[in-house]
Amino acid sequence: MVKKGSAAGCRTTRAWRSDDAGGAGRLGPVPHHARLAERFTVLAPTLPGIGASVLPEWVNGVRDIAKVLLAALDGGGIGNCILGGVSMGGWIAAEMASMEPGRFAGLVLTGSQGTATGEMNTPDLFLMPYRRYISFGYNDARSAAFQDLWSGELDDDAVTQDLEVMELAALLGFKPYMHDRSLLPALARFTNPALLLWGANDVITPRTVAERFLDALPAAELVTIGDAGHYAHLEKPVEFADAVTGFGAVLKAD
Amino acid sequence: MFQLHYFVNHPYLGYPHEAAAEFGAVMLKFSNRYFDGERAAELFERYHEEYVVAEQLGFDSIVVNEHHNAPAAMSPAPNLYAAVVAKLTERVKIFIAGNILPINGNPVRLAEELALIDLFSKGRLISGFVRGGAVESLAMSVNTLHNRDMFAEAHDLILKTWTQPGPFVWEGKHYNYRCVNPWVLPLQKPHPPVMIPGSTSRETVEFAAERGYPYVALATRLEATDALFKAYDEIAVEHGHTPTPAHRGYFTRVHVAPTDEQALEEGREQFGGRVAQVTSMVDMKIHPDVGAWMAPPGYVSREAAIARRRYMGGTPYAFFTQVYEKALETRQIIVGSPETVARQLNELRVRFGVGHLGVSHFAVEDYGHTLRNLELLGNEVFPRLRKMAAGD
Repeated sequence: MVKKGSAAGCRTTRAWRSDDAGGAGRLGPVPHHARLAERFTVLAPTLPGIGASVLPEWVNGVRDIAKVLLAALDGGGIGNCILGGVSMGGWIAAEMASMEPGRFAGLVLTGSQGTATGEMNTPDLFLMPYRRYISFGYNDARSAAFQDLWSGELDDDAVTQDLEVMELAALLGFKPYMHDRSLLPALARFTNPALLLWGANDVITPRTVAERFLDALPAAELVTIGDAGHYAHLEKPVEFADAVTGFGAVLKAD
Repeated sequence: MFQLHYFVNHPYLGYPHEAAAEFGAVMLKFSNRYFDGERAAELFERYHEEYVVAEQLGFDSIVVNEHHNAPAAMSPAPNLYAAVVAKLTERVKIFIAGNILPINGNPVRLAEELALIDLFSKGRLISGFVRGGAVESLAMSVNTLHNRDMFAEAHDLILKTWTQPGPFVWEGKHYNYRCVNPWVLPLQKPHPPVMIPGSTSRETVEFAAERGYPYVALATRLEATDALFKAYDEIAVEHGHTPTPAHRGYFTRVHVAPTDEQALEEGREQFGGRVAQVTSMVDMKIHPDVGAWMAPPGYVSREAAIARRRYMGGTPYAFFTQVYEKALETRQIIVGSPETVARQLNELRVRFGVGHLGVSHFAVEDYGHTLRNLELLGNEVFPRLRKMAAGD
């Protein structure tokens, strides 16, 4: 979630939970947040079900999570902002944009899930260890960008966090696997500018997926980041943040 | 008196060993290109004959189960096996151990099928309900996150379908019916006996103990088995039940030959070769994803997942990578002459205080071995075992 910064004192990164009670996100502040915060107020929600962020009992899919997040935006009086999401977060953002297209000045999707690849060789989050799946999301899993965040021995807290993420992912995307047939048709409602910011070497949601979003969104452009995989925001945070900043600069967001 | 159960796994024998070793796991994604229908049809003739022989040799039940994508157990539809057993036999109980409730999809239809088996067999059904190994949910693409919930809800719905006159409405979390009213109901009243097989999941032990259902431990480690039966008793008592040996079962793998030497030699050959294949051999050094297939999200509680990770060191199925001697020493397999096998089975019976003992074979190419095993079990092992039990 990116709000174009205007008021003094807003140029900070703060974690934002759906119940808006503060607290750190899944990975805590990561480099692209800091860079975006030089220009914008950045709200990075910790999704319901992760950490202290409560998962309502009735949530049973991405659309339900989208409802929770939209309600939280209502509660915070937040609108006319740029909405963004990566991977499953991209799917959630796309749902939110299709449900309340007027609320968001722009949409940024990166490696967005939500459409089926239908390929046996696409890494399936539920058929491999979590961190092995994450490694497929990097162009270079030997790089410091991956090693710093994802390698090393796991203590019980880290295992718990991984389990939380996997359980939420299973709730939202076990079956059908990471997609909803109604998503792309519904995106026709989102007529504001959209940026599809994709890792050039994404093997989890390959370029064909980005092209489907490109076709579905009335005012979208596709920009790729070189030497980046599915998690382009973590692997190339500067390039990622600068592309979002460039996109946001021309929008009339608050 | 305890009950003796004969567990038929229906393994497929004859896929290329090399392909399995190279893939590193004989389950889920091990390609079915190696399946040969002619071979499978031959094997089913064998397995169906085993049902009959086992009844003649005095077993109390024939046990069938459910697995998917698994050469180790060609058992995708246990109720079809149960129907076959019902019509090939006259006396034995038919123990389905069990239907995997969360992946079945339609508990009312399942209640109907089980009722048919009970009717076909004139009231010989023992209906086991299981959550299934995690790979079964992956094979059928049923969300493992809901496995425990679906198991409990499907169970409740089946029991209500069997015991309360319809029509009634069911609006649950996972199942919804506007008119539950199947015409065909079980013969046994109030319903066929229910048993809960498991492999140490604490939650499954709780489920059985809270309801007073017998719990059957499936070839579990001995120390873990001690602990789970202790837990069972405590929980059962808390819920107003009086646990007896009839509430406990233990199933294990047995290979018996006329002498210890012969049995041990044959066992070594089979354990190292065919058996490793037909028990869903996994080698996580070769296939990095196998561990995740056994523990997908939500399949066990977070606490259990963390404990399992700590306990197993990331190797959930240590049994399949054990060496033969270790497996013998830890009694994960029972191998020997009738005298030895009877003594070791009796030790397990006494140790766990079980009223149900189940055996399955090492699966072997040589059908003669299987028949010889069965005959030795029926004619040599069981009389000894029953005599020992009578001396309790």
